[in-house]
Amino acid sequence: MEPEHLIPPSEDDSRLEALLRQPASPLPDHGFTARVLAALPPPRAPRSQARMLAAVAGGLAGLLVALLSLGPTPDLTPDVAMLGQALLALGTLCFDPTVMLAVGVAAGSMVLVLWRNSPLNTPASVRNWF
Amino acid sequence: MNPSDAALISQAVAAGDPAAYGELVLRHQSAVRQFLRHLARGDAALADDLAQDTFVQAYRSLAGFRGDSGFRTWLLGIAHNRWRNARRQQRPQLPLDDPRVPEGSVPAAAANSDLRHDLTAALRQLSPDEQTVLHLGYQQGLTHPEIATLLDLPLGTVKTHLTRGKAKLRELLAPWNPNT
Repeated sequence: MEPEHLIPPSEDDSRLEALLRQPASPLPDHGFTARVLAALPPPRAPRSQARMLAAVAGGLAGLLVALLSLGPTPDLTPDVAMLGQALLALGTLCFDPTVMLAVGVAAGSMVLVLWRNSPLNTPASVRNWF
Repeated sequence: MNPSDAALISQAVAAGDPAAYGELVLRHQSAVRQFLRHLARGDAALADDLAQDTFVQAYRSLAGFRGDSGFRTWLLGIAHNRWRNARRQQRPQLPLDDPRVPEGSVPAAAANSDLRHDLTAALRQLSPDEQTVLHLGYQQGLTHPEIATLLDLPLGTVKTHLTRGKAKLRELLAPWNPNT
């Protein structure tokens, strides 16, 4: 609860508020906007549709050539089995408590460093606006 | 009719139209620069440098602006953040650490001083947080929840700063009150 002496008499309060609300004169631009626009990063050039089509068509053509040059499909069953075993071993290693602790510490350190250096290091509520 | 901020933002983001962003800068430069001048205790050069950084940062993040708050409130949030970062990096050079004017100089009840001048001087007697909350509330027209969000303060703290700040001002400006 506020101390009694801080409770304002309403008439004084409205006069003070009116005084505080008096707008300051707007600052003239004086080239400020031009300087900001000059400092903006250059806009990324939009990719042309023709270039996108050419890239997709080239990719498809390459895929087709690769498939045709393969000839009869090789038997990949043993390789898939080996890959499965390797992934299983990797998964087991990742669930080791020591490894998990090390990964956690490393990730935490990176987050801390990046957060401190980030220009968007704002209060959480402000960050949410981005 | 002038396009709304939202329309200009869409135009700047979707079409990459720098002119649309220029209109937004022109529209809000005064509020942002005044806020930063307030934080920098009138150091116009520093305030304008930070204001420029603010608008460049805002441009980079414009696509992520969700419109949860007004565009100006969002800009002021970025500006406050730039100011905090600058103060953290260059604390000895920045003027916020001792903002108080010498005791006894306020209010100047001399006949030739006007109320506005005395108000400015009286405001400098308040704590930095009280000054900033009063500036955002009255000069920038932000609501209490917006100020709380922008300064990352609890709503109750914002209200306390406002109440205490105004109480101090009433006391400092008592010579101007015909009822006293």
